[in-house]
Amino acid sequence: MNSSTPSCLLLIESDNVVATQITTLAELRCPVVRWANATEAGQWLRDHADVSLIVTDPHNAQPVTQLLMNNAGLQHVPVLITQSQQTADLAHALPRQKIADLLDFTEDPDSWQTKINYYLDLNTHLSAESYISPTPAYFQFRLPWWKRGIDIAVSLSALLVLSPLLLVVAVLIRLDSKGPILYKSARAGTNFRVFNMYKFRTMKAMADRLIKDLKYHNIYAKSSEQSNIEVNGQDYRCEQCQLLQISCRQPLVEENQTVCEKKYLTDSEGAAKFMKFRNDPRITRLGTFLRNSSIDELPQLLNILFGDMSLVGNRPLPLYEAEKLTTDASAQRFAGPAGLTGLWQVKKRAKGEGPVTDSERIALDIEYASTFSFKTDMYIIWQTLFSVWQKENV
Amino acid sequence: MNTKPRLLIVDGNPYIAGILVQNLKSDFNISVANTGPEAVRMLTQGNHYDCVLTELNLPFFSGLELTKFIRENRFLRNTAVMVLSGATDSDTRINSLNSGVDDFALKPFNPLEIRAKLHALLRRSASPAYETAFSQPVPARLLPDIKTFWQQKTRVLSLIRRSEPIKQSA
Repeated sequence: MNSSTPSCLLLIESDNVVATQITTLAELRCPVVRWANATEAGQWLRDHADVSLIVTDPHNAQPVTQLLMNNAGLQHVPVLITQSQQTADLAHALPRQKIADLLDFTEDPDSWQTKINYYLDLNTHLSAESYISPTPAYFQFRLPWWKRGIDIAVSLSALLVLSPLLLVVAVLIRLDSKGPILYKSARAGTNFRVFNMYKFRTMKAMADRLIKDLKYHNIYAKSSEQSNIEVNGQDYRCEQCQLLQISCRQPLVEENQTVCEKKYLTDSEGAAKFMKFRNDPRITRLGTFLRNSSIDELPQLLNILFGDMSLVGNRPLPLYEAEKLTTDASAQRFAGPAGLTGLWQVKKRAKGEGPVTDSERIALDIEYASTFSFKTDMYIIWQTLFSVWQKENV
Repeated sequence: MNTKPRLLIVDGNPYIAGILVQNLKSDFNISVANTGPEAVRMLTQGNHYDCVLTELNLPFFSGLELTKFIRENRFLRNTAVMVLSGATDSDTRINSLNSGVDDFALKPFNPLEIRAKLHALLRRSASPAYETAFSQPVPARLLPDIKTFWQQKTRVLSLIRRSEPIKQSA
């Protein structure tokens, strides 16, 4: 329906006073067609489809909604029910089916006039735009059958072939330091589904508790000294307020100081999204070897067999990292398979080009999620075989 | 427990909506709209929702306009409205809350926190659907229950051996 076509208000009202009031008001905006009951209105509607609003009294509400349900062209027309002195409170008594709103004549005239205008405006406004999105309303990723097939075949045979090695490693981990053999961490995978990912334990037990002390060794951190000075410095105002020589216009209150909101937001944007440490002191002697040889990742073959992960995909992230990526720009990375190895690992890390920035990594994840195919999967598996021994100690 | 509260998610980004659906579908009956007009259509067609979770920045009809529409409507005015938006400044938050929004969450978000916030909202708005579905107080959980691999495995082993079933830990 185009906004330029003259549309009309269909009025089905037995009360003459109410009908006159509505007609007087609405005729300034669009033609008003009035019928005494729903049957007559239904006959008229067969030849006229350009209705932008229907106003009806409570008695005709049921047949009018029936009419609309049987007429595909009128599905989107809002229906208002008039409530006058004689009718009781209708908000709870009426069946809600297909009825958009109540037009309350017990309230002052301004409010129901505004309401009629609002709905007339709304319909013009809404029908002017072709707003029905071609994309699905929401995206849920499902693993294609060929990928799941490869996953089951490869992980099952790999587990069988590698079982002697896995057994030896398990015994060694037990002997090397106290704690369990497998380490499981909650990860957000495909569609942000949370599951337990298995790894061989390479760190001392309770390593997760030590993570806060290590924040400053993070290789992804950007210029942390800078933000410290700003917070501890005397002038907490942003550049704009400093230039204008006025007091802060967006102060945020912290425990014992005030922070300018603008400054706070810029600083928090600079905070690192991933954590990785060079020469992490929590790693055991055997752990270093397991990590360099990527043997610690092998128990993830179990996750692949169970269907939590795939061979190739985006790394399932720990929850504290994953929740930082649920922004409009990067949420798409969860719309792909979660995997053991991926585009990020073979494109950047393998070449030893130093740490990859957050945004590059997210871009690679999104690229894989939107373009993966049998061919790229095979290529990535092939490349991974060469990069299993990591050049960087992370 | 089969009548879950109905939730309308309005977000222009299908991937964000996908993450929300994955994490909320166990607790809510979810409908999704990508634009403001779509949401208005769904609301005026007489569908009843207990809660609306909307982005502010929507094509054609913003989240604030949608909130105003809900608050003005005689049938919908008691619907709980929560905003999930990438707008980071407090002015937007204050403005939204003053315009009738019940709660405000920022992107990036933890889906489990959104779930908890929605439950908190619905506990307060006297929604009959919510009371039938969650009459027991919901225990605070940080993580969804994940069955551990070893538990599954021991259960399978016990089945194979036909020995006595293993007692589950409380």
